[in-house]
Amino acid sequence: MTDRFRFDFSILLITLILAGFGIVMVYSTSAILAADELKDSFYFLKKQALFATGGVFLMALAMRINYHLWQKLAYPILAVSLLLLTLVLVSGTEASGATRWLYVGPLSFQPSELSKLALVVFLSYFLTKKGAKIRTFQFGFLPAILIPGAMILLVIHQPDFGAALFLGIIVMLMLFAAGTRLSYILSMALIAAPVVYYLIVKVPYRLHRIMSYLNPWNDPQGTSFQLVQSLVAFGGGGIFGSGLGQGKQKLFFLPAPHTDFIFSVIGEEIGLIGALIVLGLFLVLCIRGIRVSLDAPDEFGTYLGLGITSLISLQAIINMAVVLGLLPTKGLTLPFISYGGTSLVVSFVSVGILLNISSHALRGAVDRNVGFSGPGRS
Amino acid sequence: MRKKQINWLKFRIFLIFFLFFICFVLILLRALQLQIVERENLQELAARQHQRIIELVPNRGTIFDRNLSVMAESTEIESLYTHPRQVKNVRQASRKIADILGMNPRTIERKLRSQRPFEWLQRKILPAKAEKIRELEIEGINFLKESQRYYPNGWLAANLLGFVGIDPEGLEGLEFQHDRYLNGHPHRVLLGLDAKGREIITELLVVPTDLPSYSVVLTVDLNIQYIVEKALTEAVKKTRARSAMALVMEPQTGRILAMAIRPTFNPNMVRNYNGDVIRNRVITDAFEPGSIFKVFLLAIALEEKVTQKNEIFYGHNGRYQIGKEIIHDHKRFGWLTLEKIIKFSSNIGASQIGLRLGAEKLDRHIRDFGFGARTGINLPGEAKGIVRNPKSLSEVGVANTAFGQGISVTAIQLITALSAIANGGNLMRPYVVDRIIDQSGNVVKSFTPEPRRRCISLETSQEVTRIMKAVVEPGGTGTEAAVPGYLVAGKTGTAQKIDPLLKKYSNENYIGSFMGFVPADDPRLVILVILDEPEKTPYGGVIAAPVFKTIAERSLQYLNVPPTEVTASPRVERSPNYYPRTKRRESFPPDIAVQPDGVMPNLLGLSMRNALGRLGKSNVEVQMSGRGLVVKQKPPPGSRLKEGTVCYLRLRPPS
Repeated sequence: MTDRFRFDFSILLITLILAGFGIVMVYSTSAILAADELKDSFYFLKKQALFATGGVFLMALAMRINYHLWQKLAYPILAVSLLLLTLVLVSGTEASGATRWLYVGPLSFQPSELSKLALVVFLSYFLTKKGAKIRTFQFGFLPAILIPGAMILLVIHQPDFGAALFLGIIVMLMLFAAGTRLSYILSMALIAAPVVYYLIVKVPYRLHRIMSYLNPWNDPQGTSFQLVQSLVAFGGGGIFGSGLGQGKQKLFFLPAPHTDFIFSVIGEEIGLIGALIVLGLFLVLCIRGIRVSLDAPDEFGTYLGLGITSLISLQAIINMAVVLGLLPTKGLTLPFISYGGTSLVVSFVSVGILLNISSHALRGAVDRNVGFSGPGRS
Repeated sequence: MRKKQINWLKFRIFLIFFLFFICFVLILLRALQLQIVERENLQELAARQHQRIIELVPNRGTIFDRNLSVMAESTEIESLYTHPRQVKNVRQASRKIADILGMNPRTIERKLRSQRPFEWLQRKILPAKAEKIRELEIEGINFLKESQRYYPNGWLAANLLGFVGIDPEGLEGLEFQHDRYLNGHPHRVLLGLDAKGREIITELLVVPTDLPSYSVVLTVDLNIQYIVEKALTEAVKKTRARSAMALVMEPQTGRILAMAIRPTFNPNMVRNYNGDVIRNRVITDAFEPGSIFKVFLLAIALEEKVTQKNEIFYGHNGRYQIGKEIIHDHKRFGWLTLEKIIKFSSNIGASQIGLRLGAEKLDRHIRDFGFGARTGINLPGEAKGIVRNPKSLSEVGVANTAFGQGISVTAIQLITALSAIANGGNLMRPYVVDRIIDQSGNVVKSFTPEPRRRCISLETSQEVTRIMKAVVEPGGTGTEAAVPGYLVAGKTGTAQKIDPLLKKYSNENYIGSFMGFVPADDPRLVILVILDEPEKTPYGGVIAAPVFKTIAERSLQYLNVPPTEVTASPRVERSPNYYPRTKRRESFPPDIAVQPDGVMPNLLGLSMRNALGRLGKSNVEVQMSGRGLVVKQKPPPGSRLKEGTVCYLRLRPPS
């Protein structure tokens, strides 16, 4: 490391803007809810601010840690993640029909959030190690889906169908990037399809979500309630929105206004302007992340950068698409903005790793005397 | 080789990015669609659930009688509702509330678990119960003040007033007909709401329209109404009539002073009754009037001058054959003057007059009296009654119509038509609402007497009145209707009802009725009393006339109408013997005034003796042929007679 630590500043800036904006929106969306149910309108604001502070601290730490350390820690991290996922099934706390949280003293922890990062680290390590062998079935593809497959099964068991599906897509994307034959990926998808179908049809609420996605105005008071309320909120905002804090949909009409459907309230209160700004920030973050991945000095850096960028971008895309009724309801939060401690902290750490990769990429770029347009700071 | 592989990796990563980029663009397009294209629809949807327009109905207008006594008014009463999602311990709450309200806890629980933001638990609960529930202090259980209709006089004039629904909108009677005024314009309160159905204090909004409700002042006089109701109750008790009605009208104006029906209902507890009892049958039900209808026949006959007041008709000993049908009388009358046809209510006499008029004329005048058409009283559900097409009427049909069979009329038509006789010939539009006033008493709309047409001449009306007075005089069928100190003009009716099973006139079911006006020569009140299917004697003169008397006597007293100066009843009984068994000589009606000198009277239908009697004072030469009744005369009635004129009469025995 040189004394001049250079990294992609735009990524850091966007992350901080998103997280800061997130805190404001969490307060706007949760104040009345919190006052009503917890008698403390600042409850969610305080927790989100606390986790953001911790997250920023951990991000700064991760930024300074040479990302190659994760290559060595891939298996331990995977093991811890799998252990926690198992633990949550054994002794986790149930909330609305799903066991997703572990409590350690006053802190609650959501292992599936950590497993996303662990999966990306492991796959980056694995794909780098296998190199060209990844194109083979028994040495490449099979092990590459068996280990993540175990993780996904554990997540399905919580049950967190959305997260499991999300992990599956991340695996596919990274395998695709590594050059796995498309036929493997497609056949994998074909095999998964009936399983997914079975899992949807077996559980009524999932089926309802799909039905309401296909025809939201059919039963606006019943199964489509969430989606219809989301559309009503978002569309009702118009170009400039009703003003920050002035939204009415969060007043118990819109379920989970501070978590899964926070983007809807953004649309309502800050209007098209606010929605476009958030969308733009995520797009720039995606572009910069991909840039980092492409410029990474080695394959592990490339895979890790791609994986982290995909984690954040894809989750943001899916969340926004759900809110706007483009996808059936999933249960994925909007990174940095939605309320949720584990997710926020893990996202910050992910970005920290990405920033570290960017610093190596910049050094490499400088070494190779290739111009880099991003601002660099010490 | 390695460099090429890296390039492929970069290409694939770029593909992944491109996929992400496409997704971002799709989201952008969707955002534009929702926030620009669909914006208005979605905002409207949002407004619909964020706001609730509560229609707080202002206190419904009062219904007053003509002296501004309250007949129906609205008071505030509390209704219980819930915001279901706010109730914490549903089971316990529903049990407690159900206990107080005396309801099934499950019903309450179902409502408390409702998905809707607002549910009525029970509307309009007693103040004591409301207080008990308030003391429970359950979160999510609230009260709203609503308007409750109250009828302080209970069943008094209930069928006229009608009643309101819970909301409260007029559902029957005056409440229905004048709902537009009484209900006024509800206050619309726009409340900002959250999904729990709670008002958002910051957004409690707008109370735009606050147009008051109006009150209605009736022509009905509560005191007279009470007199009528009481008399009717007693009559029903005494006669055990299945149903009954009574009407009092001011003849000169058409104002209804009282309108009572039995059985009736209590509008304060309207749910306990069925529609038959609630209906205003004075307006909605048509029936065969029977003998009281002869009054109109008389008027028509006099108006058309097909008979003169001195003419006498043969009673055919109670059996009069027309075609194959036989018309019966309740007594076997011999000779009857026009007056006595009314006085003793002879169907046979009426039939002859009817036949003489003919179907067309009879029909035209019946319709002139307002039968077969709505009176326009402006109450819901008025019936027209049935007046058959004269072209399809057989001779028997005409005869039947003449004494009130084969025609159906409503009570309001009868009293309106009788008022025309009482007031000198004007058919008025009957009305019950005098004026509509606002809350400070200013008149918003007022109604005035409305003559619809002149249906008979003043002379006719006077003559009919004269004859109707005889009905109440000793010997008449309506003596029970006589009011001491006042002259009464009236007519009894005893109509057979058609047996719905046999489709024939029943020998068991009758309608006994009486209608009349008082004081006869300067009428203040027209009164109609109808008793349907009395158990004992059916005769209108026996059962309905006393009710008339009671109503008339008490009402006149209440109205301070000075007694008629009766000079020892000058016309009392000049005809003691009207029974057919008496000899024909004796049946010669002494009160038939001979035609003024010089005019040939109408002698058709008279016996030889009567005919001669009529011609008695004229110095004419009479030639006769045949026996029985006069069927032809020469010269025709009304011709000038000179001394020595030869009058030719042809007689034939009655068939």
